[in-house]
Order: sequence, then C-alpha cells, then structure tokens
Amino acid sequence: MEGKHSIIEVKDLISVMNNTVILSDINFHVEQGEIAVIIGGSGSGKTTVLKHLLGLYHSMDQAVSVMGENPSVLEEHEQKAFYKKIGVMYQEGALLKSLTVGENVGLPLEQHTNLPPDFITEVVRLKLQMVQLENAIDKFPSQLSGGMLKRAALARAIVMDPPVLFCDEPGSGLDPVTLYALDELIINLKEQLGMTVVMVTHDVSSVLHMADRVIFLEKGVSIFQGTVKDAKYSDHANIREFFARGMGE
Amino acid sequence: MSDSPGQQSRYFLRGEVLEIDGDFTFRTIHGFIQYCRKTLPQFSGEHLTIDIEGIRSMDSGGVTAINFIRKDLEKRGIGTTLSGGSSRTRKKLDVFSEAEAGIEEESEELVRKAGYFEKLGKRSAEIFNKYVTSFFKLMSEITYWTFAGLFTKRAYRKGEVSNQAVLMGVNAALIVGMMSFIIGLVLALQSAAQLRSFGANIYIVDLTVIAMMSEMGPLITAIMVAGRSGSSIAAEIATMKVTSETDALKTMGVIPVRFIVVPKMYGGLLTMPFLTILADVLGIMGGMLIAGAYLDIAPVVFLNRMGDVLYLRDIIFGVVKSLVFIYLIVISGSYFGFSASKVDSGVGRVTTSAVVFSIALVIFADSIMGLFFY
Ligand SMILES: Nc1ncnc2c1ncn2[C@@H]1O[C@H](COP(=O)(O)OP(=O)(O)O)[C@@H](O)[C@H]1O
Ligand SMILES: [Mg+2]
Repeated sequence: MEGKHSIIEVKDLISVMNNTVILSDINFHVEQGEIAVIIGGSGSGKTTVLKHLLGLYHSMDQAVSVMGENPSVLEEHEQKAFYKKIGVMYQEGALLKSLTVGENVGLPLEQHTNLPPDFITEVVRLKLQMVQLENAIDKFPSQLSGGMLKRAALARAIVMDPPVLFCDEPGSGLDPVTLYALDELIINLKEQLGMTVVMVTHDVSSVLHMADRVIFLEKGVSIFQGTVKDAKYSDHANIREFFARGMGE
Repeated sequence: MSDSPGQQSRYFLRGEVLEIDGDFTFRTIHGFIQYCRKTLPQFSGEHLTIDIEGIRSMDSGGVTAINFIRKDLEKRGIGTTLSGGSSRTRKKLDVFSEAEAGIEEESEELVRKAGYFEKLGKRSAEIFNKYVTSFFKLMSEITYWTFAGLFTKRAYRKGEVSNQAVLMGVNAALIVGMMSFIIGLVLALQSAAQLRSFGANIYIVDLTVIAMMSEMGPLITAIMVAGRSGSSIAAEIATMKVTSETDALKTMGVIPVRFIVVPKMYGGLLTMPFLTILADVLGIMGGMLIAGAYLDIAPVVFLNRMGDVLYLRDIIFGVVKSLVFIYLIVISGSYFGFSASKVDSGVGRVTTSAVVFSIALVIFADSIMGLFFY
C-alpha cells in the first residue's frame, strides 16, 4: 500500500442526532484511485457516514478528512470549492423535479463555471451518452423509470469529472443487466480518469466485481476494512456470511 | 483501544470536585468511565463540580463522556457544574453538546434538585430557544439572499420568478377577488342599518373605503395567499428534503435557499401588491353595491365621496403591508419546509403548521403595524 496516499480518512467518527447515537466508532481510509465499498445492513449507518464525508453533518475537526479537508467546518466559499471536486449520486437519485434531466446534469457546470450555455449542453449530452440516456435530455425526472433516474443521477455526479465520486446504493432497484453496465461504467471512470469512488451497496456481485476495498458497518461501528480477499476470510461471521450468500447464488 | 504513549489522562474525585487532567479523548475515556462507574455510585453529595481546567486536548469522545456522567448524576438528582477549561475545550463542548439538549450550563445558585414545573419551564425555554433561533437564522439567510440575489449570478432556473408569480399571484386572483367582494358586501350590509338610523348614510363610503384599503384588503389577500402558497411552499421544500434534493443542491455548490426560496420571494413580492389592490377595488365595489341598494347612494355619489376620503397614504400603507405579509408567508412556509425530516416524514404535518403559523404571523404583524402607523 506504499506509494499511494489516503484521499479519505475517517478517524473515531461518532454521530449523535436527537439524543441518539447513530455512529459510535467509524474508522477507515480510502486511497487515491480506489473503489471503496461500504457494506452493512439497512440502518447500520452507511448513508450517515457518507453525509459526514460530504459535510452535510457536522464532524469533529480531526474525525473526517476528504482530500485533506473536513468539509463540515469549511467557510462557505471554501465549501463551494470543495464541492467542485466531488460528485454525489444519492440513494433516491435526488434529481431536482423542477428541472429537466439535461438541466439537472448541467447544474453543477452552470454553478461552478462561466461556460456558455451551448457548450454546457454539449457536455451534458456527452455525459448522458455515457449512461445511455441521450434521449431523455428534455424529459422531466417524473417521466423517467427508476433505473433511468439512477443513471441520470450518475451523469450529474460525474459531469465535472470530479476526482472523488460518492454513490449511495447505485444498484438498488436496477435489473441485473443495467446494474452490470452501471458497475462497468464506474470501473471505467476509475480506470480512465483515476477517479476515487466511495460507494454504498447491498449487492454482493457488485462488491466482488469492482471493490478494491470493503468497509463493513454494523450498528454504527466499522467492524472491518480491507480487501475483498481478506473480507471473505474475516473472523466476523456476518461478513463471511455476506459473501457466502452472494456466491451461492 | 489502549492508551497510546503520547496520550495520558488523569482523574480523581476529591470531596465534591471531580478533576480531569491531560488528554481526554477516545483513547483515554475508557478508563475514565470505569473509574466513574466505580466511584460515583458512592458519591453522596448534592452537587458535583467537574473541573476541566487541566484538560489539554479533547475530542468528541471526551465530550460525550462528560455529558454521559452528568446525565447519570442529574437523573439521581445531583447537580453538576463545569469549572475552568480553556476556550478550545469549551468550544469543543459546545460543538458536540448541541445534539444533547438538556445539558445546560447552570450557575452555582441554580444547582439543586429541579422541581417538575421548573423542568417543564426549562425544557420549554430550550425548545423555544432552539426554534426561535433557527427561525431567525433562516429569516436572515432568506433576507440576505433576496437582496444579494439581485446583484449576483442567478442561482435558480431561468423563468422561475415568472413561474412563481403566476402560481402565487395570478392563480390566486380569482379567489382573492371573490372573497374581498363578499367581505366588502357584508361589511357594508352590517353597517347600513346602523348608519341609516342616524341618517349618516354617506359615511358608508368612508367606512368601506378606509376599512378595505388599510385593513381588510391586505389582510384577506394575505390570508388567502398564506393558505395557498404558504402550504405549497412548505410541502415542496419538505418533499425536497425527504428526497435529498436539498442535500444534492448543497453538494453541487448551490445554496438551497437561493435556488428554492428566493424566486418564490421575488414572485410573491412582485404580485402581492397587485393582488391587494385588486382585493381593495373589489371590496369597495361590494360596498358600493350595498350603498346603492340599501342607502340610495348612487355610484357617482359614492365615487365622489371616495375621492374625498381616500388618501394616497392609505394606499401606500396597504401596499407596504402586503409586502411585509408575503415576506412573512414565504419565510414561515420555508421554515416549516426545511424543518421536515426523513425520520418523521412529516410533509403533511409541516404544511398544516406552515399555514397556521403564517396566518398567525400575518395577523400579529398587522396589529403591530397598525399600532405604529396610526
Ligand atoms: N437525521 C436523523 N435523525 C435521527 N436518526 C437518524 C437520522 N438519520 C438517520 N437516522 C437513523 O440512523 C440510522 C442509520 O441510518 P442510515 O445511515 O440512513 O442507514 P443506512 O444508510 O445504512 O440504511 C437509522 O436507524 C436511522 O433511523
Ligand atoms: Mg442508506
């Protein structure tokens, strides 16, 4: 692991909301150019971890570092610069319902650059092509199917070619063929653009297919982080079971 | 987690003082909690001072540990006070205690077992503080961006302001007009009999015109708009929160208030004065109808008299009021919208609250302005 450097570091992260402890001990790091997959049961705190990484929830000074910064304590203009360097694909897609797919995908560009509108449209078209959605550019999110929404959300997340991409359960609700294509796309982004990817997933086949590193959460604690190979032979019964189930299929 | 060589903490209970020194972090709190579990059950005093003067460094673990034992003691009716502490330590405590409502700094003389009503009162004060603070925070953010938005790059969809103007203003015109016509009618009808018995028929004009222009017109409009737009703003924002659209905006570098609220504010501010004037005119027409039918005041006479009693000042006052009202409606709709969360999925709840609250706020503001300008 020498030679590479950690682009994301999480140290003793805890998260308390409305008097409930949601995360009590999260520790992991992600190296540049890796695909790191966060696995864990529903309600184990995966989305909450991502929100801490994104600065949407407050984290103590040293608890979170993404590209050397803790986004939750940045000033407004620093935060804007930070967000220029990341792309996020939310669990629900989170496309803005009042905008067309094309406008959604173009929004980060419009925000962060002064590029002319016709050029932005060009970039948007390219990104939509990458996810095979070029025909949906003028449609509204309400007119898309679940799988199309996910792909549109991915197109929006990568529109600026961010060095770090976060995806919250990109595969949920997709059929296996679409899912495979989506995974391939993410692998391509990593290999061709050197993107670092942090993704949450339930899907064992996706993990086996693409993960360089897995982080296993259980009830707000990161009980394992390491390679897929190590994970398969982990001491934790739950982790072994997770992989056994997937490979038995 | 074991103590790393660089990190040491010490703690001792001496009389009614618990002293903590050194590095008070995740790496060291384990021993502290064990120590407290052993010693504190035997503690028999009424009040414990926790001396944090000697803490060199502290993280969220340390903060939680302190809050943890304080809570424990408070359950037993033992008051606690923090004493000392560097500004850094204090800041960490503040930052991380936010979520832990109920643990408040108490001054020396207040420390005793709190009675039921005292607790109730304290809790309400906290809740009040929390909500009022966040309300004013949002209010100042919206106000700031409403002005700053005029001079900076547009952060919302092209055409959104006119879209909102149609939704909030134009589409409300029919109902607002109808309601104020009826109110004007009723107002005049109710007073007609009284005025006639005094032979003061002509004063029906003064009554209708002044009441509509300076009071009823703006108020009816605001109440109708609060019911229509206050609720829809709250519902829209709450839905966006639940589906993570507001988070998505943030991580795309867009300030949600600028994208969602500011165009609504512009749309409302642009249309509200016209709606109000429409309400005034139709209300007065209602009065005119009654004046003609019951008091034999011909429309020409009515309009003539109206010219005498109508001052520009009243019209302007009505318009200014309407601007204040829409400002309050947009803010309270947004406030309840942003207060929705995925956990209680309260889209329905926040819409109701938004309407009730914005109408209350409008009436409150109306009376304040009435006091000041009359
Ligand atoms: N804002 C919040 N306030 C209170 N509890 C929350 C909040 N967000 C999430 N939770 C709770 O935290 C736990 C973890 O949530 P989440 O991170 O969304 O889980 P996952 O993504 O792994 O399914 C859940 O039990 C959820 O109910
Ligand atoms: Mg989740």
